[in-house]
Amino acid sequence: MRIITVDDSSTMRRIIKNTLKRIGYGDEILEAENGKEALEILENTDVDLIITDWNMPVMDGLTFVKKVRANKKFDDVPIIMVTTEAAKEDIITALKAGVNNYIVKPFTPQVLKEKIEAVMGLKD
Amino acid sequence: MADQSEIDALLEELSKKDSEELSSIMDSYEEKDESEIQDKAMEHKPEKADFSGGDVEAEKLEGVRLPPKEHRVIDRLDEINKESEEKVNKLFEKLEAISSEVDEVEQLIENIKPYVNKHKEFMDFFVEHFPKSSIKKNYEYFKNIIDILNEIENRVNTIRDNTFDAMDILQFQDITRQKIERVISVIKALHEYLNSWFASDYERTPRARVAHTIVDESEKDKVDQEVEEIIKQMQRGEIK
Repeated sequence: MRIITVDDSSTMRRIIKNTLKRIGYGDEILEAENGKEALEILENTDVDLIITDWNMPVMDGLTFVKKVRANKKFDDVPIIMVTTEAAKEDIITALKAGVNNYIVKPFTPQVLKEKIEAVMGLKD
Repeated sequence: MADQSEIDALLEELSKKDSEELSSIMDSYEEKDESEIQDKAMEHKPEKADFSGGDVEAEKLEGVRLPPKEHRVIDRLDEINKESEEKVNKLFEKLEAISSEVDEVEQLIENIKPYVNKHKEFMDFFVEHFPKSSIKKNYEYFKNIIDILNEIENRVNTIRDNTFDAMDILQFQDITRQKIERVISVIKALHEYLNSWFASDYERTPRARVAHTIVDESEKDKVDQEVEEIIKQMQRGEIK
């Protein structure tokens, strides 16, 4: 499975990458620092799952999700948002924008695994 | 300034001179007085205050010297964020190196295990068929070695678990970074209010949206449950 992790924090990208390997999803992991960079990668590469942060410079996660959902080329790719935002209205906003699942930082490998299984199940 | 005796002497001298001489004397006195005042003033003139810290460039703003870049609040906080991210990445590298070493140790144990097991099978057979043989004592030693090997394997797993836990805890850096970003946003508001006193390059740097809510760790389980519930409600179409 090819996964792209989008986060402006290099530490978080590293943690997510490492966690994905530990839970058995480390086949191929791509990285982007913001939504704009991720869109450029998606234009040229097929991806099975997107894991994105919300608060990023250049293009934030919410705008990125909306752009993904608006592009027929990759509008069906499952998206998990991993963010510090924990307010109910923020979660609803993200889900309405097209996020399939939502994780509040800090997360455990078990939570990430369950969420991936959930969204990949939805995809099937 | 001339004192009274000097003035009296001057008046006496003036009374002896005609008007031409008088104006000449007055001119020379005024010139002397002015230049003396200038000299005195230069001697006591205070040096310009220098907040630049030496070689650092300090911006001038309508005659006011601003603090150097490394003393400016937003730039300093950005620098702190950057430094902590770099250090945490280095820490992560070390943890990954430990994890990799642990994997290798585990692999070595796995490589040894078939030989040990084979040897144990042989000794089991031998002790069973020759109970009075002296090999029985060696067999006890050998069983101790197997126990130690199992203990090493357990310890290796504990080291791996602790290493992974430490990696997970490093998420604090990103959360702390976002907390600092929130502080920066408050300072930015102050900056706008105080205009140029907090002048900085930060407006030209693209910034992440500031986090509205950052969960307190003691409430994390409750928040996770709420997130799950909201997702389920959305999936059931209960939230429009």
